[in-house]
Amino acid sequence: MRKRTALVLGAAATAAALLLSAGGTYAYFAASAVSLPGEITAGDLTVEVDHRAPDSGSGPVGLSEAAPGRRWPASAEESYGLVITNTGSIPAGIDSIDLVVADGRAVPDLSEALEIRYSLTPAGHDPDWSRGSGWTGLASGPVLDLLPRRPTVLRPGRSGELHFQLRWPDGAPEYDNRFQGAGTEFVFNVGLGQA
Amino acid sequence: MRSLGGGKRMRLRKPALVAVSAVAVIAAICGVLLSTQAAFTARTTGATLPITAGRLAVELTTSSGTREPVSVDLSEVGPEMMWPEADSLPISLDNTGDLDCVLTRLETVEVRDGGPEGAPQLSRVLEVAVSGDPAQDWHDPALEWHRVATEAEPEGRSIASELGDLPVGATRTLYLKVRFGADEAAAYSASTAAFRLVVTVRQLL
Repeated sequence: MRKRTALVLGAAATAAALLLSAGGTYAYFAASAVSLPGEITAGDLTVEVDHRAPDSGSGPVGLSEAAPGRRWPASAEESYGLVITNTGSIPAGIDSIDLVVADGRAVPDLSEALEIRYSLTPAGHDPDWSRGSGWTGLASGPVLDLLPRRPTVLRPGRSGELHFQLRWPDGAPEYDNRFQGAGTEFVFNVGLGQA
Repeated sequence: MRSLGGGKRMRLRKPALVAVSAVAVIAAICGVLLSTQAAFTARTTGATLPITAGRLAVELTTSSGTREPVSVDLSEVGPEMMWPEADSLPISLDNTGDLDCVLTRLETVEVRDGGPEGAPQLSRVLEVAVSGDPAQDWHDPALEWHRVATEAEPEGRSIASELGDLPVGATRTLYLKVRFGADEAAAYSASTAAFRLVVTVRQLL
């Protein structure tokens, strides 16, 4: 064999060997997997409040024909209620309950003659006035500061209830007569915070 | 404290330490605040709760149904010196408020004697009696007569008290009789007196 022919054959053999090698590589099993996107959903925190009349009726509460020397409800066992429900998906604490007396009404404002007391309990429990706020003037301000203990955590779907009673202390007729026919309005602002 | 670059000792003075501490505290507080701000919160407002005070009101009218003055001419009274000569003067008390009340007192007030100078005051010899009975015997010795005014109470006085409850919308009728309580009627000739009847009520507790 001539030298040139041997060189060509050697090159071809090398090329064949490389091709075989490449074919062997393609013959290996291969597999890959892509994981599904990880899902992270944020919890939500929402709160609803509902008023409850002494007869357990739900809805706005109001008083008319108020007069000195009376208390509403008349019995200490009864109360008006502000039911606070954690309608979100994560536990929450009651951060704030603020009483806001509307201003801008005619003078005198009946709130000057009235007093209110609070008791905060789990929903459905009777008020415990001995652990409540005691009687205080019906004036705008934070309610929780008046209570001896902070409320416990509200789990999702659970409710707490702010019981309250109103009274008009029997004062001097000269003072109380100023308020005949007078009125006032107030609302509660409630804030929940993630526990 | 030793510096990182060499063996030279470096001491921080007290103000610097205080400043560093303060910065650390502030940083910690900011951390807490940031943590608090990062937590979820939710707020809501309840419905408005209105409260309205009641009103206590009573209207007093005479038999004419008005509040116009009633004139009494004692020259027209009979030998018994009573007015009205027959029957009595009905007084209606209407609870026109929205609270039940109790009639606590009926008074004569604001007596002004417009008689001639030096004449005895007519109001101090006029007497009134009040009854809730339309068939009242005005000659009943048990009936209480009250002077319209006295030396001690020149501007009027209570003539009846604790007259009972008066619910909202209800009407109570009282009957009034006036008599001349002096023997010497001539001494009061041409004298005049004017007084008002005032009823006081209190809220029924």
